[in-house]
Amino acid sequence: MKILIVGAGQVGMSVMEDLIDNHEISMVDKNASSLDRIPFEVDVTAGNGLEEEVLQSAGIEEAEIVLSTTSEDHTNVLIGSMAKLLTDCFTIARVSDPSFANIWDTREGAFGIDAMIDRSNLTAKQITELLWFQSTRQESINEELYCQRKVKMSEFRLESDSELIGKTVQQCEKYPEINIVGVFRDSNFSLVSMDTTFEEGDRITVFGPPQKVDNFGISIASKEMKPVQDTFDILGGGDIGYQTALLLEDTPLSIRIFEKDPDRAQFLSEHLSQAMVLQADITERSVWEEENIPQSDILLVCTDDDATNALVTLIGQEYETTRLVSLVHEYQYLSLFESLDITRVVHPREVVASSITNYIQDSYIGNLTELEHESGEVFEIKIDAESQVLDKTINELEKSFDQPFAVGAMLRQNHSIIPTADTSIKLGDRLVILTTGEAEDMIEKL
Amino acid sequence: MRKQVDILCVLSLFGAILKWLSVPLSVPFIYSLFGRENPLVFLIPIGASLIVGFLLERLDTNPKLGLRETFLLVSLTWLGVTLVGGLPYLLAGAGTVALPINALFESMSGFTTTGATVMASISFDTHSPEIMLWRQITQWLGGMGIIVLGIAILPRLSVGGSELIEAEAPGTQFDRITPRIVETARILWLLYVILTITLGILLYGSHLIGLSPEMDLYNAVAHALTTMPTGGFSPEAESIAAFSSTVQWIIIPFMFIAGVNYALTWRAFTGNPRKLYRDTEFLFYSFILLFTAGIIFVMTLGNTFEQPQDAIRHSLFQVLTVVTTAGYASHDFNTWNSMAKTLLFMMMFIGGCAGSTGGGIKVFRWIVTIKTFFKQLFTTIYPRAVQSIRVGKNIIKNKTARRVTIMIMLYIFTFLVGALIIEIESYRIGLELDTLEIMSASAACIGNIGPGFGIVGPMNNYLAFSPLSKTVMVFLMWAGRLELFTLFVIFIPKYWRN
Repeated sequence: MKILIVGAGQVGMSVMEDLIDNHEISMVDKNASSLDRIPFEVDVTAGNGLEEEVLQSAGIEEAEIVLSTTSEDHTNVLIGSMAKLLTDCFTIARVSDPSFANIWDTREGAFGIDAMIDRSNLTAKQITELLWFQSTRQESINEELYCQRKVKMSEFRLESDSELIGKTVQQCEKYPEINIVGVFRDSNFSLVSMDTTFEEGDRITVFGPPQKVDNFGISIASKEMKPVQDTFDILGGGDIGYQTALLLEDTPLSIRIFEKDPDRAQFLSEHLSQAMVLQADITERSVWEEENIPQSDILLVCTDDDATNALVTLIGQEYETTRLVSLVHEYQYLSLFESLDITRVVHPREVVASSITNYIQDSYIGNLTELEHESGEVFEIKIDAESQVLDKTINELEKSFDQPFAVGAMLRQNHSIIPTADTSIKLGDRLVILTTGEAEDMIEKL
Repeated sequence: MRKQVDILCVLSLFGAILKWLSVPLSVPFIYSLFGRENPLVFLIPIGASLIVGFLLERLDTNPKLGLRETFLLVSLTWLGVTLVGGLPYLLAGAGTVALPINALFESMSGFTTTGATVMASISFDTHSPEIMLWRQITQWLGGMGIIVLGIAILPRLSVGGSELIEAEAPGTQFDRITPRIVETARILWLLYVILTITLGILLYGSHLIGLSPEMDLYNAVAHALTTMPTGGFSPEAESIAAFSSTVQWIIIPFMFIAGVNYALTWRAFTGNPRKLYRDTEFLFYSFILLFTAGIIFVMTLGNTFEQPQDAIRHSLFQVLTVVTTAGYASHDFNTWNSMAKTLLFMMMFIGGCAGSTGGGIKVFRWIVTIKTFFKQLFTTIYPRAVQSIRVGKNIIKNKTARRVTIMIMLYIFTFLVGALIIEIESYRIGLELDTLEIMSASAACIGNIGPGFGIVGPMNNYLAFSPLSKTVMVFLMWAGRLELFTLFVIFIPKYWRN
């Protein structure tokens, strides 16, 4: 596949390095000198990515994917829109300002962008997964995202006190937004039927929107696992700190967010209803003493400036804080931060780059994932105009194959839906299918 | 160079509004052609409003309304309309309202929907039904707002629309139902008319089926016209106490609706009743009413009222009438015990919801003030904390919160100064009054409520006060209706300078 990357910064380079072995890559950057470091397999073009001639000479005509990842949000969005005007490629744009992503999330295909990679939101999700979910959620054994991250598959183990035990699949109506597809029991994997009864030690495979699947994981967690009521201090109220607080709004965590700028603090207090906002300079030791920051259970250092982050991290170390996570924006300081004895270092650019790479790899039709116990395969398929199953119902689909399989979830017009037996398949749907038979055979027939 | 207040523009627009006063004046005029009042009593004010209106309108052929001018225009309109609207009382020459100061008081009390009266005898023996009808029409016009009505019908005013409406009832953001201000004003008036007609039909219907013998057609119209604006001018000397309990039960829900934000009522009626219980102000308003009525029920049961159903009805009615600032009376609450009276007095400072026809401080402002209070306590413990005040989903900016608390302080201050002047004046003319009477008179005027306690109680009147006291009261009613800032701003010397 041919991929055009505009912007040879850290994210662009790192995506290029991840994909270069399997794809044909072409890169554009304004700055000719930053293209010098690129290996010779990559076509390089120096010039402004907003100019049509530059995009043409970089081979936009043949590109299947156009990724714009310059340092400017506006430029990235504009390049995406322009690429869409020139060809019918798949466009990916990276943004840091959440307002673009907010518009894009609510309106399908806004700005002509097919996928918008929101730096602060992704990083915030990464942080919350590190800090919060791991401690309360019934940890899934295996999980995978499909359909542009809108469908999630997770495998959970049912512990002895889970409320699902003794119930049949039919009795799980409490969770209409998720789909329980398979059970792994006694080293045997099988697809469930309506009257399958759950037993202790079962490993169940679940499909649904990521948030719903995670919530399901929380609700079937064993009752002994109490939700943590930790105190969590966010030091720095930039976009990442704000998004992190926002994602944790409805959790029992007691959150404080420290911000130096009074106007930003006011903004935060207006947009966060649970977290307590404090206007203070966290590089001042008096603030640490008076607000008891060292006693906090978890600390997140996330200002926009690496020097400040380093200083604050060092202050935190001196107070011997229990769990401290710090952000580092510049790759060159990553090793420096990692040499400090702290819980975790999060590098937003790395998060973004790996997310883009995953995205591109996932967007092949028929992306195959093998279940951990190697007894089934999951794949994603897009229904085009030539498909034989177009306009058939799920029920008819199931009858037309002699191997056992189940449609875990489907994506229609950017919304994930759980299909029922009489849902009919429409043009443009993306189906996520789990089969215990030969996946390749199915893909060919579909 | 910044320009001074454009007086010609203000006068011209005022003229445009004033000439339309002839339309409501022609209602009692037509009635008088078949009735007992001399038609000239209404014909002269009709002529005056038309001539003066047309002449003033000529002063500026192309008026351009700025922010500064809106304050003067709104204040002047209310005063000017009151002056012309008081002419019929003078010309009719009957009873105590024939004196100029009393006519002014009665007219201002009408337009501001206060409902305080200086009529010594409220009966058709002294006053003609036509004059009484005019008295009720003034309240009905003032209820939804003269300026709002002006915007609804006069395209010239729609330019400065939202500023004008906010100046007429400032403090809270004007709630637009539709993007166009003219349409919003029309919808508000339409809803107001629908509610008034519904109430009139219900009242007259109860008469026709024999549940309320005294509620004839005239009374049904009169009470519909004075309930929806939370006015309180009843053509009966005994107010609603003159009617059966059925009438009182009919009026209770309509007073309640009159005290709710009309924009909210409109939204609830046109398909989304859920808006009601999601609205913090509405919930708080309902809670205050039920809670206080409950307390008064307990306080009065067994002493003032023997029957629980009487106690329920009267406590509910009386709390509603005071909180929504309607100023009716279903019972002479002067005969109630002092606990219940003190509680009613406190209720005088609540007022209806923002955007209702009720006067007073308004429930919304109290919510903001209470939240500001807790925010202040919180930041005392955590000096670095930054908190935002939320009412429902809305975030109240610090600037708005400050304005709200300052308005309440100014309100209390004006009320106290008003009470002090009335006290001194009453002492000067040898009128002996106790503190609660004086306080309630001042509170009832600034809150546009009407009756207070003792000498100014629901079965009495404001006649005994000196002309200076009455002037102060007129000012209190005027300032209270415009929620202080709009009127006070034109008394600042800087307002008039460049």
